[in-house]
Amino acid sequence: MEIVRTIGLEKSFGAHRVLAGIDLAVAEGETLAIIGPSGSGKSTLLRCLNRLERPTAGKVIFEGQEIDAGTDLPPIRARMGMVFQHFNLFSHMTVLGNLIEAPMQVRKLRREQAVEIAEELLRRVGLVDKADAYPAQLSGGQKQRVAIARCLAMEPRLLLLDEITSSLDPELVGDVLAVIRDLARQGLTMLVVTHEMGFAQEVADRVLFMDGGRILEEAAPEQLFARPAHPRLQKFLRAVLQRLPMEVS
Amino acid sequence: MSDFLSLAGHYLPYILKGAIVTIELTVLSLLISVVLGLIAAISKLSGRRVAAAIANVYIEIIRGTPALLQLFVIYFGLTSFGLNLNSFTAAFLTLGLIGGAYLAEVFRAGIESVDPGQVEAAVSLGMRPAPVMRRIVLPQAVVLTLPPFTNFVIALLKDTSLALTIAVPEIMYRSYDVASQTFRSMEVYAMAGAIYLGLCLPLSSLVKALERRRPPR
Repeated sequence: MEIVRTIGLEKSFGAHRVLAGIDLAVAEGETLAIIGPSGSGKSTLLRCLNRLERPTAGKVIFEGQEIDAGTDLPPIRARMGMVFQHFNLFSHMTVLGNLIEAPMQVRKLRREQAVEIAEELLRRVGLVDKADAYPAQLSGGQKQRVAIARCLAMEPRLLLLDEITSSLDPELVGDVLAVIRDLARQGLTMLVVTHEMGFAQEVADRVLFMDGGRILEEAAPEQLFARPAHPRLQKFLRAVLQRLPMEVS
Repeated sequence: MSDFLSLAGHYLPYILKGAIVTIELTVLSLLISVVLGLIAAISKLSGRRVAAAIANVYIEIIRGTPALLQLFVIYFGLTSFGLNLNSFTAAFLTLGLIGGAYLAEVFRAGIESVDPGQVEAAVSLGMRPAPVMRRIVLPQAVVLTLPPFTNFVIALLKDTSLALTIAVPEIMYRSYDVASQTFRSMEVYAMAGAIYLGLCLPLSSLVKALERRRPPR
């Protein structure tokens, strides 16, 4: 079953065209990695899916329903979780508070139910002992695992991960990726914007390469990384593997 | 000295009764200020042009004209529309209107200083605008706003003395009254000053305590 599809999705900020027609379909249980140089439109694509950004043209169809200007967005967003590069935890709430807030407000769960779900999720991400801590008392890696658990507490059908390891110290990346690996194994549908090529290769069913607001290549990871076809992708992979800065076209 | 004591013994209770009126004026106008300030701040931040424009006009009119003039417009001016407010009501309504315009800016700054990423996170979890405001933005904005808010309360308390001009029997009015009967202005106004100080000092030490106790961010 198809979870999300975009048809000719475009987004411009003023004269700057960030997305130049994206056609994309994600099947249930699939993990899709999106790679590409910075400025290529990867994050904007994710933000157009849950409509944190309003697309300039094109369609987004989520679980068979077209999302347009008249759609009541909160029920859609409740089923489409998003994890951010900078965690965005509610800093005035404890870890537990972060996890039960939306389930109680949006899913209308009773507090005990929400707490039960939250504690189970904290066990899964290895932070059960941090339930009463405040975000400021956590490391970056711990914050990001809380942010993931906060999304999972909504039992989303689709998870959007926006460069979730990009602001972490290298030694903290592993714990976060382990959680995502685990979710992929359990068959959660995910769109992962990432700069971790090794991770994309390992966890993704399919990899998209974006540049200049378009999808230039799309293939299974073993093929895309071993035999990149598009010259831009070849150049990008060379640059990333040598850790060279990549200029934006 | 005994002179002063007999003066104080005679008139202090009378002036102190004014302190009650001052406090009543402060509390009532504060309530109006908070409500108006919140509405104006949220209107300005709502992105709705008409609401923002109305809030701006309100704030600019209040900021650009003297408080005394506003008080006279409400107390004397409105009578031409058949609206005869008693002086106490006119005073707290005016001070509330003025306070709302100032608090709007205080609240707006507080709301804007809340991390927009947290708002996005809440929205992306499916929370609607009102709960996002109530549960995520306001609790954090309030903490950031408390010191300037308390400063506002202090200023408001002192501004209630304007009500003297329309004969509201608050501290200043009664002091003026006593001073003009006894011709002992220095002693009388010193007493009034001491009462104002006694009311304001606890508030300013509250500001200091709040500024020390900043939450982790």
